[in-house]
Formats: sequence, C-alpha cells, structure tokens
Amino acid sequence: MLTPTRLVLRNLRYHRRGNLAVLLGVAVGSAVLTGALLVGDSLRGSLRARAERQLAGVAAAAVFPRPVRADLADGLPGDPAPVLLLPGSVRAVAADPATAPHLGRVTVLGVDRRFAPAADGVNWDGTAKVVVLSGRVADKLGVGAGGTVRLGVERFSDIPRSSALARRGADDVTAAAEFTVAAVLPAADPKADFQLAPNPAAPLNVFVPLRALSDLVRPRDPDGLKRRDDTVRVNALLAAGGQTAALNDALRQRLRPEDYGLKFRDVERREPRGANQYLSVESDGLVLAPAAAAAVKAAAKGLGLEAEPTVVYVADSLSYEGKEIPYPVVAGLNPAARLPLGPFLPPKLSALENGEVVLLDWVGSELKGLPDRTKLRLTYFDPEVEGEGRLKSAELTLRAPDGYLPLSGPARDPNLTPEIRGVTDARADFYKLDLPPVLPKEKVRQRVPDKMADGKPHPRGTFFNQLNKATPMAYVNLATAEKLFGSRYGAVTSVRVAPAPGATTEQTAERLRAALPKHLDPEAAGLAFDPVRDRLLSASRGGTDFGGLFLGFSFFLIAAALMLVGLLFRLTLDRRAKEVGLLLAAGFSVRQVRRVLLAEGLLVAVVGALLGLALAIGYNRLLLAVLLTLWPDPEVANVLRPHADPLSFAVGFGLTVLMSLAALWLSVRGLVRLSPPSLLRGETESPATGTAAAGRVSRLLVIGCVPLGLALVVAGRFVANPDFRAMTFFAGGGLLLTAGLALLWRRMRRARTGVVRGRGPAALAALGGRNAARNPTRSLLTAALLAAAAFLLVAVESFRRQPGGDFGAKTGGSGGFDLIAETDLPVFNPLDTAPGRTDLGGSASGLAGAEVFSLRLRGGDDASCMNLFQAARPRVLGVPDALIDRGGFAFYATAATTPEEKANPWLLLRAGEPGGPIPVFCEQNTAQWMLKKAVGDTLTMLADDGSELTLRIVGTFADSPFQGELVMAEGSFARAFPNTGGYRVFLVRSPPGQEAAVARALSLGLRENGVVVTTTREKVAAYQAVIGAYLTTFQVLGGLGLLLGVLGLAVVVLRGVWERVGELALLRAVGYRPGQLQFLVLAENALLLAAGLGIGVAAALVSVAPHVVAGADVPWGRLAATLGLVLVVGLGVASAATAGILRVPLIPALRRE
Amino acid sequence: MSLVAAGLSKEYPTRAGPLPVLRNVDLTLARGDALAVTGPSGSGKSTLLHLLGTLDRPTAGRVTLDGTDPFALPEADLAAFRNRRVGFVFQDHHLLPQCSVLENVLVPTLVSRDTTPADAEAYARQLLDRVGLAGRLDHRPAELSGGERQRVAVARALVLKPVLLLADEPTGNLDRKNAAAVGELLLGLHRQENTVLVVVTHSADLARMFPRRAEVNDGTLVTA
Repeated sequence: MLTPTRLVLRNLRYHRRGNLAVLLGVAVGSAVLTGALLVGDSLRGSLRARAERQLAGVAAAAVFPRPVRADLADGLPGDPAPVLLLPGSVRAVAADPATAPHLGRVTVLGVDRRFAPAADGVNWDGTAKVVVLSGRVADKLGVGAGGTVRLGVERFSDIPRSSALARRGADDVTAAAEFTVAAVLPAADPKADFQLAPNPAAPLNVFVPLRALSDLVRPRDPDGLKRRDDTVRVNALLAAGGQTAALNDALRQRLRPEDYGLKFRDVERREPRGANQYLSVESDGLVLAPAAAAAVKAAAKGLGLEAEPTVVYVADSLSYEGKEIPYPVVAGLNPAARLPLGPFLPPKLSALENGEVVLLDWVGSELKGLPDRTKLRLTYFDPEVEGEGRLKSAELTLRAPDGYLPLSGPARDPNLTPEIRGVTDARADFYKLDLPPVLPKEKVRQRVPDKMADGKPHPRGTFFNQLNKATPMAYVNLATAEKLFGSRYGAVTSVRVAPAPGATTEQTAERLRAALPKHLDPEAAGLAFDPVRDRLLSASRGGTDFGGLFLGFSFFLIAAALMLVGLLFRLTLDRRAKEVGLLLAAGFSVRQVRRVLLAEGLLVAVVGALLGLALAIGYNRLLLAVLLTLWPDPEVANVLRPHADPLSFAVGFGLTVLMSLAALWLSVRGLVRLSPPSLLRGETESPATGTAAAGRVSRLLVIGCVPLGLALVVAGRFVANPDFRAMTFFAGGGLLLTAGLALLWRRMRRARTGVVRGRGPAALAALGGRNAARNPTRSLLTAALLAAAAFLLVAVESFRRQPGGDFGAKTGGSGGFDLIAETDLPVFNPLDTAPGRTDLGGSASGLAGAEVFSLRLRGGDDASCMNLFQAARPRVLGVPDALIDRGGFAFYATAATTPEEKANPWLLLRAGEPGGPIPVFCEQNTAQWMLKKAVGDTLTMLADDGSELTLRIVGTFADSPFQGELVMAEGSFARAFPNTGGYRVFLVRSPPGQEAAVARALSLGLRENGVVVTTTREKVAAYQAVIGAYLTTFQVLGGLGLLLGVLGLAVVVLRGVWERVGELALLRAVGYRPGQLQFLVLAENALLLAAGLGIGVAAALVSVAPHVVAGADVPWGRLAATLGLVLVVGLGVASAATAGILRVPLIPALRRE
Repeated sequence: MSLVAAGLSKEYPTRAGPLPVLRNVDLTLARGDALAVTGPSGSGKSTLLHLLGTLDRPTAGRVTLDGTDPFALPEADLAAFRNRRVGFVFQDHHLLPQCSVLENVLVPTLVSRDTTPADAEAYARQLLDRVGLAGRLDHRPAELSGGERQRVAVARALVLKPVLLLADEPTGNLDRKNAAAVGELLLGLHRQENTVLVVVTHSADLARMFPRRAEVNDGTLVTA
C-alpha cells in the first residue's frame, strides 16, 4: 500500500545519490556549527578542569595583606592550612652564580603537613632548609633530589617598605638562603600546578617547611638587637571545605586586634607622679589605617575612656633665619588634652590654632628664645613619596606668649613616638641611625656631627642619646599634623587612651581588646576568606566567549555549507521537476508537494545533522590542534583538552536541522512556484527570474545594500561597544556581499538578452557567460559560496598585525622603549635615581645612558589575550608623572578633546575629577575582547580598603606591551592601592646598540627580585602571535568554506555538463573540437569563480578599510597567492569535470538530446 | 453537468511583450462527450488543455466544470478540485520511477479524501486489470514498454473517477498499434466512466476515433 510516508521513503531511496550529497552537506554544516560550540565547551571545560586541578582541593582562601600568626588557622571549620605564599626566585647553586640557571616568577610556598605535597622524608613541621621542587622548576634548573638551590623571597618588614623610615636596602627587602632539594614533584601531582590566580600558564612552585620559610622572611634584626619572638607567621589560609560565610564568621571570632596590626603599649612616664600612665595603641605598620584609628577611638568612647589620636613625624628641619633644629620630631595632637594625655601648652596659652606650633624648651636648641608669633619654616619629606623622597615645606607660627613648653610632664615623653625597633628603643644611638632618605647615615653625621668644633657632640644628638630619644620637639594641633603629614596610609601614629580612674593600663588594654572587634571590619582589612573555587570556576567561563567567537567566524562557513545544501537539494529537485509537475497535475496542492519534498529533506537533514555531530568531535579537535600549534605558550597545550557538553550537541543538531530546512524550503519554494506544465516540460527556472520584477528586486537590493553596508562599516569605527562593532562589521560585510551578488544576478540577466556573436575564444567565452546565466539560481549560489569564503579569508588576513615599522619610535607601540622588565619583588628605589642604581650593585654601570621609568604594579589577573581565564581583577600599573609628561606610545583611540590632550593623550590620566572615575588606559584588544569595553566605558574593581573603585577607560593603546594590565597615574594608584608599595615594572630605553648589555645588567642586578627582562618587541609579538593563532584558525575556517565553494562549483559543473551532454554532443557534431568544448565549459566556470571571489574580496576590502586605514599590515602577497590558488584549483576541478564528458560516445549523447 | 469554456484567452509574457497563444475560445462539452483537438505545433492545443485542466490560468475568460469555476477557488481548493475532478494523461507518461505500477496508479489517491485507501487500491487494481496490466502490478516503469507505461498513466488518470479526462498527445510516443490500443482504451474507459474526454493530438488516426473534433489554429478553436 502506498502511503505518503512510503512515498517519501521510496523517494529517499530512489534519489539516494542526490540525497547523499545533501546529507553530506548538512553533515558539514552540523559539524561546523556544533564543532564551533564544542570549542567553547573545550575551553570552558579545560579551564574548569584546570581550575579544579590548580586549586588542589582548596575551596576558599584568605590571603592577607600582612603576615598573621599561623595558629589563627587552628579551630576554624574545615581545618584550613596556614601557608606562606610568596613570590620569589630560585637558582641552581653552581660554581659561577652568574651562569647558574635562574628562575624568576617562582611561587614559594611555606607549608606544614596540612598542605604539604607528597614527598617522603620531609619533616614539614620542622625548620630544616629543605625544598620540594615542582617537576617544571627542577627541569628548568636542571636540579634533582639532593641538589642545592638558592631561594630568594621578599622579607617581611616591621614597617611598610613604602614608609620613609623603612629599610629598603636589597638585603632588607629580600631574604635568600640555600636549600637542599628533598624531592621533585611528579607532573601528575596537582600541587605542582597550585595557584590561586586564574591563569592557565603553568606556575613554578617550590615547597618549603613553613617554619623554615617563616624564619627566613622574618624582618632583619637591627644590629645588636635580639629577635623578639619566634611566632610562625603566614599570609594565607587555605580551606578545602566549609562555606565561606561560616569560615569568615569563625575567623572574625578568632581575630585579635593584633591580627589587624594593632599594638598595645603601656606607657608610664617618669612624671608627673600619679597621672603618668596611659595606653598607646599603635600600628605595626607605623601609621594607623584611618579605619583602625577610628575603631580604637570608638571602642574607647564606648568604654567611657578618653582617647587622643596622635601624629608623630620626623621632619627634615625646623628653622628660622639660618638657625635650625635638624631632624625635629613633630607631634600633632590635642594640645589641651588633660592628664595623662596632655597638656602640651606653654604658659599662658590655652589652645593652638591651625598652623601654630609650640616648641619644646630643651638644652642646645638653636631656636631658643624666639618671640611669640615668629614664623618658622618646617621642611619635611612628602609622605606620599617613596624612595629618594621629596622635601616639602610649610610655615608655622610659633606660639610662645610666655616662653616655650618645658621638657617635663607630658612633654617629656619619648613614647609619643611609636615604637620602631632600632630607632626608638633605649639602646638606639642617633649616630648609628641609617634610615634613608629621612635619616641617611652620612647626611645625619654631616648635619649632626658627633664632634663639633668645640669637641662636643651636636645638641640634637645629645638630646636623642640622653634618654629623650624620639621625644617631639614641636607640637601642632591634630588637624595641622594631618594636613602636613597625612598620606594614603593615614596620618595617625597612635591613639593614646587614658585608663579609667583606678584602673591599670593592663586592665584598660584588656577592656579595649575585648571591645575592639565589633568596631573592626575584617573584610575591609583584607582579613577574610574568598570563595576562590567559585571565583575560578566563574573565571573559567573564559575571557572571551570562544563558542560565540568561533561560531561568529564559522558563520560564513556554516552559511556556505547551508548554501551547498540548498544547491545540492535544488540540483536533486531539478532532476525531479517532472515528478513535481505530475504530483501537481494529479491534484497535489503546492503545500502537499512541498510537504512531501520537505519531509524527504527533513529526514536527510536529521541523518546528516546526526552524522555531523560525530564529525563535530573531529572538527573540534582539528580547531584545537590548529590553535594549540600556533599558540605561543606551549604550556597551554597541557591545559586545553577537548570537552563536549550534551547541550552543544542538542543546540548544534537543532540549529542545523532548522537551518537546513530553511535552505530546503527556499529551494522547494522556487520549484513549486512553477506551473505544472513548465515542470512537466522539465523546466526548473521560472520565467519570472528574468522578468522586470526580478530585475527591480535585484536593483533595489543593490541600491539598498550598498549605502546601508557602507554606513554600517563606517559606523563601526565609531561604535564603542565591541560586540556591536563586530556586528556592524559582519552586517556591513554581509550587505555588501548581498549587493555584489545582486549585481551578479543583474549581470547574468543582462547576458541572457545579448547576442553571442563573433568567433574564437572571445565568442566561446561569451557563450560560456550565457551558459553560466542559464541557471541563474544555481550559478548565484555557487558564486555566493565562493564569495562568502573569500570574504572571510580576506577579512581575517586584514586583521593580522605585526609590530609595525614605527614600533620602536616614541610614538610607536613601544613608546620608544626597547626593554620592559618586571620583578616579583618590588624595588623601592626607582632605578632612575642614585639609590636605585646603588641597589643594582655592580650591575648599575650596565645601565649607564639608559632611560628608565619605574612603574608601580598591583598584581592581579593577567588581562591579556594570553590568559584564557576571565580576568576579574586585572593587573594595574601606576605610571609616574615623568612618563605622563613625556608622552609617546601609539593609541588606537582616546577621549582626548583639547589640543594638549590630543598632542599627549597621557595627560588624560590626570584629568579625573576628585571622587569621580579614575582615568585609565588599556590595550585595544584587551579592552575589546577581554574586558568588553571601549573608550568612555567604566569598569569597577576593589581598592585596597575593600571599597569599590570606578575606572574609566580614556584611551586604548595599539601594539602595546601593556596588554595584561590597566594603566593609571601614580597619584591615582597610590590612593587606590596604598598597600602596594615599590616598583615592579621598568620601561627602559637603552643607548643604541646596548640593548643586550642593559638587559643583562637588569637581569643580574634585580636577580634576587625575580626579574624577567623582555624586549618590548618580543612581548608585543607574543601577544600578536596569540591574535595570529586565532586569525589563522579562522582562516582555516575560511579555507574550509572555500573548499565547500569549490566542491559546490564542481557539483554545478558536473551537473551542468551532464544535463547538457546532448547539447555538447551536438556541438561536437557540428565541428567543435574537444579543446574548444573544454574552453567553453572552463570559461563558464572561470566566470563564476572570478565573480564569486571578486565579490567576496571587494566586500571584505571595503569592510576592513577602516581597520586598514588604522594601520593594519595586510600581507597582500600571501592573500593574492591564496586566492590565486583557489582560482587554479577551481579551474582544475572544472577541467576534470569536462574531461569526462568528452569521452561520452557521440551518437547516444545526441539521441539523449 | 458539463464543461464550459467561455472567451478563454491566454497570453505569455515575453521580453518583446505579451504573446497571445489562445484567443477567445468557447467550448461546451457534456458528460459522455469526447473531443479530439488537433492543430499544428505551437497553435495552442496544449495550452487549451492546461487551461481546461486548471494547470494554468487563463488571461481572460472562464472555465466551469459542473457549474464550478475552479479558478475562483483558493490554491489548496484548486488542487483538490483537480485531484477530484480532472484526470490527466501526458505524452510523456511521467510515471514515478521509484514506484511500482500499482503505486503509480495510486499516487493521486494519496491526497484524496473521497476514497479510503482500501477502496482506492481495489479500484486501481480493477483499472489495471481493465487496461491489461493485472499481471504487472509490482513492476517498475523501467520494466514496461512505452504502450504499457501509457496504459498505467491512463489508469492513474482515472483512479479517482474524474469528470474530466484530459490527454495531451497520449499516443505521441507510441507506434501505430500501441497508439490505436491506447486510443481505444481511453474511449472505452471514457464511455464506461461517463467522463468528458478531451484529447489533444497530432494523430489524425486517433482524432478520427472521436465523435467530435476541433482544430486550434493560430489560437482560435474551430469545430471540425
């Protein structure tokens, strides 16, 4: 019994060859579409797997801004491991240190048994100097178990390194020691890949027993002073389980004020008797953070205690008319405070106004006896400036209505100055102080000689050494001190608290300790767990939606596959025109016929799409293989693995079937529109295709698409949103392609009305043109296939970039700098200063003549295209004013409006409004693809104090070495990230021909800081290699599209030739030579090839014109060669197809006609 | 109950302007009437047949069959009308190569609501028996001679018992003997089914077998 279903099945079987071709076309479309989605799956899956692996079971991590006691971990839920997590360097110990293998950017992990890697024979709770290296580190150093390595890490500091009083000599900043290699971790050990940052680049991990590392990094003891305690300190707690909120609650309970860096000091002055005790709450960072000072004040107030914030600052000089007190200690406080916290007022003075100062009456002071309201000059180091320091000055009005403040009572109190080991303690000696830049030894001895002309020491030294130590010599009110000495870290150096009547300072301290926690915010102080696993898994979704990206670039390939499907289906249908006509004549409605044909097509599409799913797996692997082969970092190959999400298969399958049905529907629609008699005669093209109506449609398409396409292409240059910009590119290109194809359609139409006359090749070519126009739909589809692929090929090639010819110029991508160095450990003296060069030791001479700019770096996620993870917390660079004033570098776009800003866009970094968004630059590709931002857009990130910062992109670099970070002015940087001290990035312009020598000098001089020196050209080339890897992969897609195009062409040629076998036989019968026939068919197909390629290339060139104008370096030669190759292959295919036809016997062929 | 064509004209658009093919044709046929239409090539015979069979639309004039103007029907109803009321036999038999003889005859029934599949098959078998192909039901068209194929096409045209049976050069591809047989078969079945039969032919022999004859000349129908 014949049923519609059976009819469909019969048709499928009978037309199996044609259907097989359609099926294969659908399979290709399905494979490409699904494969593109699988690339996204692979990236996400690989990064997810990588995230899980690199966390080595850690779910939450608390990474603290300052070291805390290791026992803080005890009793927290999930038994977190206390870890010292330090950037550092390692080098193999060899006879010649200069040639020993050396590795920077190493992560040194001090661990106890709770986070110890699997290694036999290591006592992780001991202090032995043993180390376990990851296999990667061991390989790079060429060291195995039993060998010796030298580890270099940043040493802890009693006070912030950025503080003017901090020791910043190379030995003060770094700690290095030799360790014996106990074991080498196998590559399979996840701890070898442990890192908390989202980055697929392989970390260089070394593990050291926690106690040993804690001992190593302990602050250097000032000469002659005994170490205070052996507390094991860590800067991270790693928890394998537990809810972050529960961990933070438990941590908050366990935190003591000391964990916030607060110190309690009982002070007992010698006088006055009975009211001489108070409690001094200080910071181990010298300056109390504003939040901490406020908390102490609030806690004291809550307890009904009097508290006085106090500022103490060592100035450079206090002077009047050539007389000066060198290095005066100035105190800012409430001068009218009651005992025991004050007062600090001389006789007959009840208060101090802003800008007024009272002086201590001390023996030997050069400023003795000055009248009331004398104007004094105070010079002091700008508290915001690190390193060499910058002197500022202020005028203060002396208040001495009836003499100075006597050195007695509250004013005779060296404890107003916070405790600094080696500076304020009892054994400190003024002449042994060496605290550059404030108190450099040589300068101190010069200004305060220990032997003056009279053989006596300078009174300033005597004052210090005679038990007064750092007793302030000048007093201002708190507001004046905060104005003069306040910095991004705060101003208050202590909050002095008076005990309640009858209470001791110990009791007061106990009450204050108990009351403080509720006033302290652990999260704002950075004392909190971060759900690092969730964060990494979120980042593993990728910086770029690779599925979408590959889908976007596969769009033309998918379109080509669908066009091929439509073409093949139409060819099959053309053979069945009479059958369709019969069904219509037999009373089938158009709809019924369409349904039968589409049912067939649907079955073919379903099977083809299913087959494509299997092919997609291979296609995905192919794309990944191409990408990994081209990716500059070979380690990524160990991360990126094929993954497949069932949803992608479902989406790929569903979309393919739907799109195939659409293509089939379009093919069927054209055919069933024909009248049954036309179909019964075997006609497959409607006469309407050549009518004026069709001509009008094609003309409208040309008229409409060209201006619209051009407008979109031009508009793309000004569209800020990168997604919309991409859309304008593709939409503009698509419209121009459409216009080109519509023009071709019109051309083919015109060709049918002309007269082919003449003789020879020209006439044959004209006849070929007529033949190409014989089946315009078929020819148009073929040309469209080729055009789409050519468009992709040319467009992608035009986006390829290399460091341009002007790269090395000041206004080029490098900004005129040939080297860029980055250290793991900060350098606190800028390398363009004398102390900085001194820190480089013997290597400093290698930098002679080099221009160096030192930049601050706040670590974070690498935002460059090298990082496949999503960069949620991009790295930030702080550039000095000198670099801003210098200008240079190539910009892709800026928000410059004034002539000055246009001349030097760097000025934009200073143009931020107070309290408004911080202006930043970033690299164009980073902005577009990783951050999804453009000039004018804002983004947010967390400041050091946990508050949210808003940044506004005011410029994007082109060809820049700053791909991985945001760039802001140093001033903005200091306010946003006050805890990030020192300099870690160095831009260097070497003297001509000295590049290698300068690089070597930097490498050696900053070896202990874990420096990596790269040429800016290499760095940019590495970034561009990543972009090149993408582009080449996309070109593979374009190549596959062209393959489909050529395949379509071959099918059309074969089909056309076999349809016209009788006609060709007739031409042979009337005397055409085989060569002439072949030329005829070749001409026909060459026209299609040339038209398709030409339209694609032209549309692509117009679409990328703005990009090319912006400086893209298009490899025209290679492009022309590729397209030429396509032309040759296409013609070869056509030749092969026609060769067969010439072997068909003449008479049967004629009979067929 | 009859086929009426009044003032039928048909023009085809060409680049040089409209090309008239039929001019003002009037024709009335009642049930049981059989008409042979002759005329030179390109005179418009086939066009007339396509218009009568609703395969093509007239430029002017109208066609009614049993009082129904098929061209006034929506597209889907027009197809159903053709399916139910009109049977076609073409010079090229247009059998589906992928289907058997019986299946080819059943093709029109696939979209018919006037018969059940069982009844349709029974009638198809009966028709094939009447055209002498009872023993070739399962054969494929490729396994039949030209005359046999045309007989299958005749059976297919009659399987839904149409009122109007139209044949376009049904013997054009057949030899004299087969042509005569097909002619007799058409007329015989026409009588049995009491249809209106219109045959377009170049064959004078076939035309002579018909009680009524007409000639199309330069687009005009002239009754012989």
